Amino acid sequence: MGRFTLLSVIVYGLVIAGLASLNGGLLALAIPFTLYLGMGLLFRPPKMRLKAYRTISRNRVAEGSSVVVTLIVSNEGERLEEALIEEQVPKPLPVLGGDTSLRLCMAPGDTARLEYVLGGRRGVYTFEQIKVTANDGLDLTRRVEGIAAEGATKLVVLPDVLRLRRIPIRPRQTRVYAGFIPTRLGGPGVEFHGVRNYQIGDALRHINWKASARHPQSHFTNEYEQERVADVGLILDARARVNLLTARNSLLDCGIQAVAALGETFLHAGNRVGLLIYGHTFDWTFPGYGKVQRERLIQALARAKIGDSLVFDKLENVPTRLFPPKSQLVLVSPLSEDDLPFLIRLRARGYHLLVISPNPISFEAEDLNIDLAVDLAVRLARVERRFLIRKLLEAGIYTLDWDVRAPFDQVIHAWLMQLPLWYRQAGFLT
Amino acid sequence: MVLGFLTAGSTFGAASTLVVALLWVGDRKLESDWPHSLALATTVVIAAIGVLGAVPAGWMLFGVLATLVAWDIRSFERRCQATSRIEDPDGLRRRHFRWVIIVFGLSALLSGVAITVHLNLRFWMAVAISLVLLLGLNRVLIHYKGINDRTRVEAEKRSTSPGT
Repeated sequence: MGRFTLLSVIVYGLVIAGLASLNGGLLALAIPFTLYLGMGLLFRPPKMRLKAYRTISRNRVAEGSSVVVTLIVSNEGERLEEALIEEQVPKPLPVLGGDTSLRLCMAPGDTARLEYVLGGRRGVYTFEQIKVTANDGLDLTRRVEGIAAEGATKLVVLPDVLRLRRIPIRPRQTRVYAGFIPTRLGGPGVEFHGVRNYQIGDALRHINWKASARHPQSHFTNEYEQERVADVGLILDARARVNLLTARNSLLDCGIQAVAALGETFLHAGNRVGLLIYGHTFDWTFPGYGKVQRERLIQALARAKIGDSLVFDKLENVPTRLFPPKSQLVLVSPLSEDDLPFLIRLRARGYHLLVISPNPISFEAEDLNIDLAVDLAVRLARVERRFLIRKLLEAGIYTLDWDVRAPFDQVIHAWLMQLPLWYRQAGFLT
Repeated sequence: MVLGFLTAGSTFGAASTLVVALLWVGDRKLESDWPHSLALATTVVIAAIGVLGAVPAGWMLFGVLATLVAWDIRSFERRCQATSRIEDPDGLRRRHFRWVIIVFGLSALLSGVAITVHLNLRFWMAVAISLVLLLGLNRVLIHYKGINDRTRVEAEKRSTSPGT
């Protein structure tokens, strides 16, 4: 029951009781409450005219960093006897220090300043309106208003990006620009590819004297394998049904870490990289090059959320026309059994596919109390997973089964070193 | 109030008042407001019973006034505790107590006049005045509720409108 309502009920009760019993004493008892109510109504807070301005020390920060938010509210209207200014901090962000609410008396022209420190996890956060509650001196009547603050309204917390060494890929289709990917075509390059007839203008140092000596009537020139850049499509599986969520972390965060590292590495090598985040919706970042594209990818990963949708329930609905034919695809997904047919079809269409699969079993098993039944369940789940990965291998899709307890950069390089030398030299897919 | 009841020879009334007072004091650690609001309402009821039971109205009036002031101060304390920072807390306290003193003083004065000055009113005049009072109070409450509802709706509209 509000204060005003309580006092009104008391006044009504005393007045009615006094009239009914014709007792002046009861009416006299109602006087203090009536006066109290009257003062509250008479001196109720005026309409507020406040201006707010918010600054954030940095709008884009890496995960784990903190930012200082400063809010300045100025009164451009009448005097506010008692005002409570409350900043509506976006819910997932923890307040590490400072004040997010302030109570004060604001005369016309006065300014109030709030400063606080936020930390946070990856994400894009929007600051809502500031809530200002003005009340009279006795807190009987209140005015509550939301005020939109000018200045900074968004904070982007970016995921960490690990640095990886160059990852060798060898899709059949490449682009026209020079890069590091062997193209199986002759031309300028480093690796020997073959010999051809000498043409006027060829450099003398490229002449293959042994072959030329065997054919006195003609000369031959060495040809090298062209190295170019390629299209790389990164697909991040953000479906809720495969991404486990625990109190401390989620598999999606591990997947994001992997995608960020791979995107950085491929872009650094000059490739054209696009990103598809597939979950409750699909978030497509158009392929591009360089630092600008890196920023786009990181922003998209910062926005990524776990979600589910009937339309995007299975990987079968991934729009493959977004990816150039025979390009390199990297899928980061914990995988489920019904994803297998889609992946095999992708491979059959000529895409070069690499799968990075954060292991959901070891992720979840860490938080469980291991008893006999749980141990048996974990072992069975591991066998099922090993069978799924084996089927992928048989289809020619190399899959990294990543135990997320180990850092991604170490795991991927160790895994690359384990592949047969001839396979590493030929690339992932021949 | 206890003294008033004892003067009138009502030990039950005095005991009830003491119980409410003890509950009030012991309740200081509770986070919510409702125990104090309940104590205020209970005190008013006990005072009304005392007045009806021919206990001198002055005692009851003073007790009710003191309870109202205590209730207001408690509510002010809770408001201040719920805020992470207060600018010029001494100034805020001074301004609030100024209001309380004004209300206390005026109430004491008017109540004193009310219990000492007796007017003889005809029945129809008393009924007419009562009706005016009740209608007036009703009007005030509807007007206040209208202000509150409009303020809340405006605040909700601003928080949900696109672009904010």
